[in-house]
Amino acid sequence: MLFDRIFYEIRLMGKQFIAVPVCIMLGGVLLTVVLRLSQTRAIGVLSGCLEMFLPLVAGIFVTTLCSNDSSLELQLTLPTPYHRTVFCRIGLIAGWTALIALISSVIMYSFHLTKVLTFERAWAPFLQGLIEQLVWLAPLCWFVAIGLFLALLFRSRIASTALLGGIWVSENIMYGLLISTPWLHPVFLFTTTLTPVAYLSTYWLSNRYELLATALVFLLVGWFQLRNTEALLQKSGSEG
Amino acid sequence: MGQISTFLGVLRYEFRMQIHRLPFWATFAGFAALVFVVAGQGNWSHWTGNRGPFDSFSDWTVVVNLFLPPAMGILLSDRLSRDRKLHIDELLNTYPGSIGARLLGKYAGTLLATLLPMVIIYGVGVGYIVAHWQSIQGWSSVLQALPGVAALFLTIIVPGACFIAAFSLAGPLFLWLPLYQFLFVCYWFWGNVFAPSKGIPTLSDTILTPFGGYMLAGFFGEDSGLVVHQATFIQGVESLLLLLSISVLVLLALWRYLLWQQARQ
Repeated sequence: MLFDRIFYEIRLMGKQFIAVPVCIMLGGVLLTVVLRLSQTRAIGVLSGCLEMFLPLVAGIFVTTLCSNDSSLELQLTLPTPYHRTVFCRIGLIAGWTALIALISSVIMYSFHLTKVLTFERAWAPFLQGLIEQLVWLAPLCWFVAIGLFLALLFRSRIASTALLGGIWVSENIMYGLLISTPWLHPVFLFTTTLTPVAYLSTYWLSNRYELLATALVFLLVGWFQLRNTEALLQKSGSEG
Repeated sequence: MGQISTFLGVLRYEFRMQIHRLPFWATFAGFAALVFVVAGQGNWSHWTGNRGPFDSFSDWTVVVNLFLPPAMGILLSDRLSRDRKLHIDELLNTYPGSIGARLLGKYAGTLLATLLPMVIIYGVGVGYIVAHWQSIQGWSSVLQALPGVAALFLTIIVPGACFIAAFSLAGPLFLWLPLYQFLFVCYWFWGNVFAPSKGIPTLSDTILTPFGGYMLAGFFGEDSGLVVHQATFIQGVESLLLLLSISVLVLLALWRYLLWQQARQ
């Protein structure tokens, strides 16, 4: 029954949700190969794909799916609570993106294509590999949680996607400010890719945990928003 | 006259439809908070580096044109594809107005509507800068620099907005909408701010940048502080004309595509 439900949701979402994360990583690999052939340093490309592009695309997918459900009224009459359905969908998006990221990360780690933080060098290889997954896991959870929150707040795919995009662009442009201002570290999403290795080890781990904690808080808020049936039914009309 | 009335009617309708969307204003409110925080951290606190109010107006133009266009691009990306999704296009095709007039009216209406909050945000910043410099250099210096504000807005912000609006109308007809939005966000950073010194090819140091670095340096001699620091007047003109020409080409291609689609039905 559960697998039937999962396969049904995947068919409903469509092949694009499955293909895009794969294409992003393949594109990153292709670009890395091209840059290597032209003698250009390319270690940031794959790290950027893991930490910056995959989480953004997962966040956009979540806003697309959660901001407006044309079968909402029908869903609310079913025995399965609507919040469980939405979290199932989010879980599929985040789970598939996480799987792509995990496979890519393991391959990158095997080929020594990742940044090694100073505090990691004394650790066992298995633990190093485990901690390395926080590179993509923290921003992925953050984008998914914030995407859900914004989608339910505005009930508009376009508005929530625009704000996610604005956050992404701002973090890329203002990374110097984010590195140099300690109280902004908890909202610095792309720490691994954008921070020089010399400064990275001082706050990377705490930054990852803070992002995960923020994501958890917003997922809880999203869960409460989904349980507010009256607010869910007050859609913004023509918004797509 | 029929085409003109169709164009004006669609323009008015699209403009009113856009400005009545609450999420539209909520999005720009979020982006406004962002640009004011950035300006407060950066340019607005660097008064000692600015020689006069026009330098501050230029810095403010850079901040606005760096952070607001992503909102514009995404907010406009569903306008045409939404007509198709709701089957409104089939209904509109039965009306006497031509597709070209309707398309141009939609483009102009949505562009003007999206420029409205940008004008408001830009104006608030200009007002703050005027108040600051008035106390330092007096009203005459500030009033002399004020016409430059209109020039900055029209030559740097508007061409980029035209460019983005054209692609945001056309792109989602060929690409899945979330994919277009993702690619647009990535493009905005890669094509305008990404430093060429990183080794990855980029358009950010070419005249094909809607950010307006070449116009800012070429027309006004100001440095955006990002990728393009200097440019000649000719390069500024080339960048401006290229952005506007590409916008026109994209709209023409879109118009031909819509005509072809209608003929197929």
